[in-house]
Amino acid sequence: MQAITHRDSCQKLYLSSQDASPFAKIALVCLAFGCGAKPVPQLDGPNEPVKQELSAKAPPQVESQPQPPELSIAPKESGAAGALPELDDSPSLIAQDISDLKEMATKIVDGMAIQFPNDPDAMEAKARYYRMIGKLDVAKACWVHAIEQVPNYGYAHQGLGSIALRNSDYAGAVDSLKEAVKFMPGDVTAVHELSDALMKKGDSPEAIQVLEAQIAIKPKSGDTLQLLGQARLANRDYEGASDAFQKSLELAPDNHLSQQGLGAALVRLGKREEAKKWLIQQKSARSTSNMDSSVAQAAERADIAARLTYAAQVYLKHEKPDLALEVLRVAAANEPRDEESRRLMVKLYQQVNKPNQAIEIAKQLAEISPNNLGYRMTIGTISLRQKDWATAQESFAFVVETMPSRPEGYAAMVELSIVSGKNMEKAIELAKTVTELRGTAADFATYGQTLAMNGKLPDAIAAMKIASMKDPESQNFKSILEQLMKSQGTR
Amino acid sequence: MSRLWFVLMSSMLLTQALAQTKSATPIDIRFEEITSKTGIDFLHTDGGSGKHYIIETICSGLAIFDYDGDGLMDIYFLNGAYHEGKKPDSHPTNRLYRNMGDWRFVDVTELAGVGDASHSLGATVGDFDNDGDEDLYVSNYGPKVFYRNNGDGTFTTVEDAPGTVEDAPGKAANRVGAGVAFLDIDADGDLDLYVANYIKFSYDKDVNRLIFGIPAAPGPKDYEPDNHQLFRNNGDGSFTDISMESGIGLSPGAGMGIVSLDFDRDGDTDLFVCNDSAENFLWENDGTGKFTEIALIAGVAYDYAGLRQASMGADCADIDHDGFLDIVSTNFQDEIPNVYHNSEGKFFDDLGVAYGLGVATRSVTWGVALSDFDNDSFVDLFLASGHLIDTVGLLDNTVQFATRNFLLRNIDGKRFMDVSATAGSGLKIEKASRALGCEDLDQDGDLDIVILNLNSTPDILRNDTAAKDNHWVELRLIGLSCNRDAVGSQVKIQTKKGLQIQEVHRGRGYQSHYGNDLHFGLGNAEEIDFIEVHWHGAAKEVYRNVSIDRKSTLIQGTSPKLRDN
Repeated sequence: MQAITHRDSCQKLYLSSQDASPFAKIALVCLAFGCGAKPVPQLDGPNEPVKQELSAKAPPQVESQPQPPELSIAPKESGAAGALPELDDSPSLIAQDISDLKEMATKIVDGMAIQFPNDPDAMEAKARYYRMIGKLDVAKACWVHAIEQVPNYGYAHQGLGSIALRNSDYAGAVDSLKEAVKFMPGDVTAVHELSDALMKKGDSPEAIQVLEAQIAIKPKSGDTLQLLGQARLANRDYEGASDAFQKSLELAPDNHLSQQGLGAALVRLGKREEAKKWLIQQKSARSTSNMDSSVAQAAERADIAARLTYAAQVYLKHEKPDLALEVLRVAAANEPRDEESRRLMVKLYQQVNKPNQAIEIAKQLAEISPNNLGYRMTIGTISLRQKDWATAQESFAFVVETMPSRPEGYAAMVELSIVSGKNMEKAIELAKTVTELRGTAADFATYGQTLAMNGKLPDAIAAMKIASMKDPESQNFKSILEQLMKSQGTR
Repeated sequence: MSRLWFVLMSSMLLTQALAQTKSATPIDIRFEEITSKTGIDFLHTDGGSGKHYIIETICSGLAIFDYDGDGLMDIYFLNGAYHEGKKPDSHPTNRLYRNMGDWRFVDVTELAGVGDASHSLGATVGDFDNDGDEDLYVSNYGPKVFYRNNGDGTFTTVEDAPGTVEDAPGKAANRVGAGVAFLDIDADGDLDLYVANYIKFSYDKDVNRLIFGIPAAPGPKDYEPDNHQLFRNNGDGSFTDISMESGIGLSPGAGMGIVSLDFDRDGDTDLFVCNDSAENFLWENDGTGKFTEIALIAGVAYDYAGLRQASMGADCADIDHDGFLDIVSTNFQDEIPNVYHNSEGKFFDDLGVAYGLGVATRSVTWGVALSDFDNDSFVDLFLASGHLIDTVGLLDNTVQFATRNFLLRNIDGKRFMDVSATAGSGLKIEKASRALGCEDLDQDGDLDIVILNLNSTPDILRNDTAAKDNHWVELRLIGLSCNRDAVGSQVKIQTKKGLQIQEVHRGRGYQSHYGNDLHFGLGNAEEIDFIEVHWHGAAKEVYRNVSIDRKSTLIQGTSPKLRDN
């Protein structure tokens, strides 16, 4: 089964706070506010969103494309192709089994690629899907086509490199992956695959160079250091290998490949007893059994959901949020625990002004990942916009209660009080807490606002002075301060 | 005059250049597929239940040996058995084919009495009672079978033999046997027996795997790995199970192919065991039959990247003429077959990548032979290839179930080059191959190949390499104080082509046995400087004036010059 790379797992989220409405901005921040185990998406990192990619590379002539056919993604049995029900995981969206789901997904991905044949992102989405289901010839053709459209499309070069690597065409893999690294400098997957290809080509010295360059860019990567150790080991630089493995283990103590590599290096340095310790430790860390069939099938569903989410992003990029939503609903309906598709759905339902649906999906997310308080924040924020004060209050209170040392929950409750005009006295206390926990200029401004709304002008002026002091460039703060002082003078 | 001189000189230079070109250009190794001419009508079945039981996908081995002592190598094919869920029309059995010479083989299974109808997986051959004929041990799903050679072309099933009692129905669960090897663990002059076992399987524990809705084969990690067994030969025809006291039985592993070797040249026989999707074993012998598992330290547990491999079959030879035995093991798709290069007996480095074995990563490789097919003095590599189940093309449309095998020529000990495409009809066959064995079946001085194919007929490949300028010698060792087969003895041959070393094995490749005699290619060396035999557990002897291009028998204690250990 194909491993899903970091990028594959829908990290190219079309989430940009620059073009979102104020409320949506809060929702976006909330979605990204990972209080649980999930990492906060790196919107500015190497896994740039599709939108950013498009801006960097010539956008396809969407208007000149053939008219998109209707999506026909419902299973055969339903007979209901095309438009999907308004909300929820209708039975018609749910595949009978994994084969049925694969058939649905294939239709979606093929349909998407037909609509945007000159969009390299569409080709990329299709290629990764087909690679996952084992049709590597189709994947390869998609990547070749993507490069024909945009020669510097790094993902396609990386895809071709990975196929060449798999086919033991090490020279071809090196060529493609060097192109990928050239167009995506610092991309971890491409660099790691390039080093692998170089090693297999028998060029461990160049693999070392490539990995050392990567470490210069991202010195805190345990995986890269582990690969560096491996390359040095192949190059019979046992001291260097030992050093790299040790540094890797400082960053990731449980990396069993680093433990094994360190053991191997130590054996070759004549330190057999020390080596034994690492070798035994790494062995015990390795799994000895396959995942249960049901778990494996769930993983496959998750893989398909991730690829569909990717396809949805392509629709979104082409400003077809309705079609994106249709695809996402298939993904979500067939993978009850998939978060990425649902996260994007929340965003899109807000964009198409369907806040109730957005809240429903956000509630699903909160159920899937109860520790991710960002989902609670999202529910609260959308409820706030809907003037559902009780739900908003409940959500924000949950966040405050769960993580009292984080300012976001308090700030949201303050926002709620300001918008609803309720509990204004309490809002002062909460806003003050925010200034203590975070203390940005905006926090002091909000604190000042609550004080002013409660008629405590001197305190409000004091707070606004701090805000202005913290952000002396802000004309807004200055203006508010002047107004407050004027009001006080009037009094 | 000057003109004549110029012509003569030019002619001489041209002749020299041509000679250099000739010596530098390797001869094409060629194998022709001649199965239909041999009379071999064996048809392998995995059992055909249609349920993709794991024991169906992994079978079977073979054994090549001279069962009747006529000097010609005979072939014993292992077969599957019908499984639960399938009503048999007939019962497939293992088959023995007697080599009649001139590429004619006759099925003598019933006559010899070796037609075991179990689901057979591994086999080895050895003269366990030192009576001068080769006995046969078969590893099955269920009780194993031990055939004692009566010396008259027939065999008798040994009652209460190792592995045949404790695994018998009603006494213990059926075990999934794998590779087996005879070796003399304590140098007491008789052959002991190592029995690898695979996983703990029963029909009610069958695991069905689907990948994106497509049937896929279950893997060893779907089951609990089994313990391996070691039986000490008591010298009176009986064996004692010493699995636990020897250390062997302490570590379970999904065992497959095995090969014994004295990797550290300390005089006792160690053992390399392939474990499917787990750390391999390297059992280091302390000389008394007690073993310590050292694969992690020795560097043969994983591949070059520290990853577990599927590890199907194994063979060993001195690939680069450095005097130490290296190990090759075969692997699953997307894994590079390992070349564990032996660094003076201290540790191994997996140089499979550097040796060019990446060419074989699109297939699952099973049988393996490190043998010198062109007699140039460097061992070449043959890999039997084929996938697990016939739906694999639906899982990855760039791989096939039936594939061609691989022949790789050894280039001066530095790397292997895939020469399959130019190696004749024998390398064009596409089947799901499993086991293989190499012997000089027609006694013409080069090694031929026998391949067992899953659910298909076998392939007999005649070596038609036109290597007339390359010489060879084939040695049969007969031990007197050491075990009669001289298993564990190492032979060094010195020629102008350098020093070569080989060891006598009984059990190698993918759960198979072949290589009864040691075949050395000598390149263009026209004489052997000396042959040194380190008889297992005994003194070294040096033999001189051994003729080339013929088979010779070396009997322990008959060399004109004995050397101290």
